[in-house]
Amino acid sequence: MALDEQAPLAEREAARPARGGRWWTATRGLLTGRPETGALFGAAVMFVIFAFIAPSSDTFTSRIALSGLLSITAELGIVAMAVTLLMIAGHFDLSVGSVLGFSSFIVPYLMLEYGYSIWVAALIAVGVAISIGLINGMLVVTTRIPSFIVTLGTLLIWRGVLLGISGGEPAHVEQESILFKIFSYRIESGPFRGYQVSVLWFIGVMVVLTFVLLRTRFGNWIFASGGNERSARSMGVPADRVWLVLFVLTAIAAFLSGLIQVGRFNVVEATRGQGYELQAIAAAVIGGARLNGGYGSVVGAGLGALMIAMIQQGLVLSGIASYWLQVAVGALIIGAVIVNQVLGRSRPQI
Amino acid sequence: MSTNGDRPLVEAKGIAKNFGRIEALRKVDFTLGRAEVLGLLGDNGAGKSTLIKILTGLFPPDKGEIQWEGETVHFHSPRDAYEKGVATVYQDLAIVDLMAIYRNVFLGREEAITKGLGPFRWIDRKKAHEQARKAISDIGIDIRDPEEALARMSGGERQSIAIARAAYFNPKLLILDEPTSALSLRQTERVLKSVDEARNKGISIIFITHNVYHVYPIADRFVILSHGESIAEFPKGKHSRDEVAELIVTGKEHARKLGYGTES
Repeated sequence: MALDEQAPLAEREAARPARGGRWWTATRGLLTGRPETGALFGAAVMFVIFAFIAPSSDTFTSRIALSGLLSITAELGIVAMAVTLLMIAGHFDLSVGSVLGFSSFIVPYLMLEYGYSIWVAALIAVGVAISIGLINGMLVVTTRIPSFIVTLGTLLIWRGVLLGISGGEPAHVEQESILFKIFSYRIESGPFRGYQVSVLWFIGVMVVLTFVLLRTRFGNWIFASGGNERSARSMGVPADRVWLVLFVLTAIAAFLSGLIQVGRFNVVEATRGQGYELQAIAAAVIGGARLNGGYGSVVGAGLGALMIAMIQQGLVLSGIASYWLQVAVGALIIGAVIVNQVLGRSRPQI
Repeated sequence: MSTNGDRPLVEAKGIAKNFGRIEALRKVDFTLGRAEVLGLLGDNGAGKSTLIKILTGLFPPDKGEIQWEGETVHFHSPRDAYEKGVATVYQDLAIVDLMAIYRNVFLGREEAITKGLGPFRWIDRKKAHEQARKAISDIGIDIRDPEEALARMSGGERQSIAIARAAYFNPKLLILDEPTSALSLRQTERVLKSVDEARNKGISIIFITHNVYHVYPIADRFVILSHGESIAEFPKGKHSRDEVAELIVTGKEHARKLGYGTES
């Protein structure tokens, strides 16, 4: 375009040729406007593909398959959405998988070994999760060591502690409890028969975190702390406080997901949550989050989790060995980033 | 001097500041009237940034005093200075490129665009858009969409948006640190227009630069800083641009020849 780069925006815009007309402009605006757009289309396309290739006997779109898909999505998505807020604020939490395993293991462990009631055990476990989040946050904020390193350390530490106290043995929960019903009740009749209430938790977390990110002062601070820490600080944004809160949030989200899984499986293995840290980051990135912070979407991360769950479920139902899961997720991450970049042509290139 | 209050806004007298053995500022005097643009000129190392930091409350001077509307003031922190009405646009602009324009305008001051009760407050998007648009049009810039990321703006537009943000909260004094040093001539003109609009709102402006050609069209008066001293203070028109440029480079001796600093 032979337009002067310094001409006022309005002039530049007015002089831009109307390529493809209004409809295309509007569609393009929709496509490029939000970070999660790519994930939305990706999820839709993937769903159609799997629905088509999965054999008809145990089809991808059956009630049992869909409810399983949504359970996996909910458990990963809750963690991934919290991790996304932290990533937008410019930090990583690699310890979420270990925190998930450790804090949820505490519940049956305290009940079996010390005879605590399930409510007390769960309360203690929440406290433990919050403390772990605070430790992560304090270490990052006070030492200025990159969070990637700090939480890599705590990933190993808490997994190690879990292996130590469990001796590698799983802990079983025999008892039925209202607590488990609240988090992972499986609906027994009606139109939603077979689905788990964890899906509602997933949607609830998505709505609340999206609101916080896009419509509150704290959300503005999240974007600013990750987008440009120096600028944020000189405008009076308490970046350290933002990060502390978000590290606690990811730990709580990990516990919530862990508790849902306790209710679903009635057992916690010492390896529970292993690999979640990378899947959560994968979901965030697939959902449009920028690895360096300052940009991303809660809804996108939820869709990213859905896509990862679809691959898991779809490969199994298509009779493909689950070893290929990693290959597919790996390809998806790279593909998603490429698509997001293409869609993001009109987005800031930094 | 174009004063509309009874006293000048700022009078700095004998400001000095040492860092260990280094004399950053030896003796700086200047006066700033209301709704006046003061071009604060000096070469690199003349002490411009130290002076700004004193005026914005980052640290106190060792000697000398600042009078604010006729009263001696001590700024203990940037917050202090801000509450008196000092706003500063630093060279790095303190903006976040990935964020929407309106989010940048209200960054750190989100109270201005939130609604709700007690701790349950949320951003009123409609109000935020309107206010951001108004803040920016007040200094003579049109924006198409307040949701647009700053990274898509030109350097001049971003500088102007940073000025708009500072001017929006009705400061009495606006300090601009080298606002044009990284800009083309065309973009510089746009920034000067924004400065003019801010002055029309009644704001006094200290425009810091080493390039007299950038500030000359807009300034009402000039102060030249050299080796930590204010060596000359004069209204526009008294010296030509080229004379001022020479004064910045040649310093005190040259200023003496022109009749400055002889009385003290």
